[in-house]
Amino acid sequence: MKKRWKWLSSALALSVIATSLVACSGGNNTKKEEEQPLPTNTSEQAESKEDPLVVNMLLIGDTILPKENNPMHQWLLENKNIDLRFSLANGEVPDQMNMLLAGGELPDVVRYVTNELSNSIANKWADAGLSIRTDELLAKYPNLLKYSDPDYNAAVFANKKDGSMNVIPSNPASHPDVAQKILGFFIKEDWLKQVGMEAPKTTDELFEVLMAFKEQIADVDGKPIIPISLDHMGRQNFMYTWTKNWYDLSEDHKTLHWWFNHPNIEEYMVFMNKLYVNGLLDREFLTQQPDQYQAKLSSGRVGVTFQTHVPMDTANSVLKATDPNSRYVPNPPIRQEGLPLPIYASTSYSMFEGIVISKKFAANERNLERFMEFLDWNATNEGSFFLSHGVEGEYYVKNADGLYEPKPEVKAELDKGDGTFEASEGLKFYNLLKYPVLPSMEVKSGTEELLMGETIWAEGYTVDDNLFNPAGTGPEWDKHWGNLWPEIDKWQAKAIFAKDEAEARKVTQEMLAHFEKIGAPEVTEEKLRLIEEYLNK
Amino acid sequence: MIISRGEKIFQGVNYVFLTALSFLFVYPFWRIAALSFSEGYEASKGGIHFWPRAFTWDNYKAIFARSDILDAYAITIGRTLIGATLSILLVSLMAYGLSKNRLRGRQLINLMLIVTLFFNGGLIPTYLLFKSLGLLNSFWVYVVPSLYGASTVFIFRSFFRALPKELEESAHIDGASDLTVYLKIVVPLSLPIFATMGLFSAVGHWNDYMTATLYVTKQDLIPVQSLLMKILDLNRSGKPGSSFGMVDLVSDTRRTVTAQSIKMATLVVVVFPIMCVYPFLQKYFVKGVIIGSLKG
Repeated sequence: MKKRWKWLSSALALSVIATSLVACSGGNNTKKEEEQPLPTNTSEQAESKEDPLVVNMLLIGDTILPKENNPMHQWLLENKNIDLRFSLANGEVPDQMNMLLAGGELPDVVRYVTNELSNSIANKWADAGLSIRTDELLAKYPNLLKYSDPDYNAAVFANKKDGSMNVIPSNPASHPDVAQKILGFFIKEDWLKQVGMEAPKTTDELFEVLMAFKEQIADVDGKPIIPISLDHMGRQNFMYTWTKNWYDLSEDHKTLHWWFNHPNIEEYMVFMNKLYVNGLLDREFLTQQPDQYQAKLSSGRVGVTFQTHVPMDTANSVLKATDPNSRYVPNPPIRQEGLPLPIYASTSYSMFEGIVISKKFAANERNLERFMEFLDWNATNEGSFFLSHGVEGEYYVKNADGLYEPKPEVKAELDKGDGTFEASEGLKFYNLLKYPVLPSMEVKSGTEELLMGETIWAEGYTVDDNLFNPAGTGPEWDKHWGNLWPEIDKWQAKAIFAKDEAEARKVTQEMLAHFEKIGAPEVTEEKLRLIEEYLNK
Repeated sequence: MIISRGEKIFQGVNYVFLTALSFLFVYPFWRIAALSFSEGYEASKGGIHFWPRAFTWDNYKAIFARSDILDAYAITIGRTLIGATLSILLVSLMAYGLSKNRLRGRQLINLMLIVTLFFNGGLIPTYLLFKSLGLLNSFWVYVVPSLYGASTVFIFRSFFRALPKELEESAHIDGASDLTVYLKIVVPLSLPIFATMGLFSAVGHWNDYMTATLYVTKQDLIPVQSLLMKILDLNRSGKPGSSFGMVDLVSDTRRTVTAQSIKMATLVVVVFPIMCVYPFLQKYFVKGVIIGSLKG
């Protein structure tokens, strides 16, 4: 009996171990199954004589995949003889890329979100022999670079060791021709009408409008109104009224100020102190949480703020539900007389994502050629439009102005904003380069107020000088920057809540002296040197 | 027993204090649930309220409308049941063996376990190990790596050591093998610690999303936590033209969800199953923690 139990327990333990080992090898088998190409199509096109090109593409940094066997996938299979199969890497982009580097193997094609770190890892892939150089491909298919600046690409994407390109840059969302204006000041339109004033464009006009709000607008739902409220982003952008941008580089590239140690920052502190002393500034502006801030906007208690369009659209939806005339509208940039117009955002030739082709995939030259031909077609207006909008008439129709707009039922699905419709139909996902169509062939999407912002907020946008960011950063930046910019909030609290202007100025001078001691000069000097080196390249 | 006036007053104050404290603990969850059943625009107005101001199921529809939610739940429930059961079974067996002084090599095994408490392989070596074991993009990546935990082994071991040796000796005298003693005597006496550690393991499996983030790219293998994180990310993004939820107020098809209301519904979906299970295990949990700590 004892022996039987021993044999039974040993058998049980062995079977558990065996099961685990078999299960552990299950992933590899599945991977092998995925690599089996689909049966050949019987299309009459010349391409269909070949088996469909199977491309396993890993997306790093995306959040959603198209559904399997969606209509766009089927169309590409039947008409372009290409079987694009996506997988998604969750988690931090550099971590995922480093794991692939350590694993020594890449999927056929990888698209990742670019930044300095991820670009350097992509170049390490090439150094490790996992991916191919793209210089020749980009020269052969120049369409792929039509939205990017070669100098920018060389500065940002090229391998620092030998200047080679190992990436196909994609996603020109910031390009001057396509970037949407999505942030700026906005103001309560009905309050403005009630006090009989125009939208403010200068700090003096802003002060007058805010005083009028305070004196003439009644409490909302029993709670006092807040003439102006700003969160962190709003405060920083409001500073640009005096400092122009987060950095102010002189035209001769000899002097550089950051927004927090700009000579004009004192005037910002004084103005904000004036707002506070006159009861115009939200007392919780330094401590409020995002949902508290949104609640204030959605309740209609705030007169003026600075934000992206999202909180504005959310608040408007709430307000218009009870009163169609109650809404926030974009307000022009606020400027100070005699100072440059503030720059809230800049468009550029930067490409936000990069496509890398594995050496394993490229070993088959015909496969590489077919994939590049697909990308080249993707880069055309015809290709980009089709891949984003589907078969003509299926989802989008031409309106009287000759522009495409979604059918009502499609618009209702798209307006949900969660991407499920696009995922089920395969729209946009197969536009691997994420290229737009220029000139635009479709109606601009967005709320009425967001579309107003295209013109009203335009002054606060500029084209990036294509110099500052590519110049890069150095060890002084790594050492000091993390300590510098958080200090501004601490000093703001002291200066803005000061009892009078004199004290606000005194605190600001102490702040500037403090920044001199905690690394601002070193960071500035290093940046100027890097810019000079970049210019001399 | 006669209760004095002072004691009555003390009890009254105690009840009031504990009621207020309970309210403070319960209200945040209550508010989350209320917001999850509120239309998004009502939720964005803020304020304190006990009931949904405009009741809707839309937030839950937005989550459960996804066809992959059921797959995700299947993965999570599967890994929780299989992972927790296997883990407790194997860990307890190991701990029982280590609790016996006659086991040769016991000190070495204990030392190896202690080392794992202090040191970790790191992200890349762990990834390479899982890759070489074929665990990447496999269901078993959720189960195999978490089968053994040094701290759990030590807790079980301490508990087993505290059991009366006489019970085991008398069983041996009656002819029971070590396995029989373990199954028929030790396990019934150790139900509190089994329930406690089982609950810890199950909650750990239920809440884990990091494993999927790092080691799984196949979308039909991601657990519900990772899927819900994705839903939150999708609904947080302020894409132009799809200012989330309420672009066209006059349309009959308008949605009434916002990122905030989706977040609340997500929290309820995540926490609710565990809240349903916990009351049944609570008595074991309390007993096990106390006994384990005293006799350790």
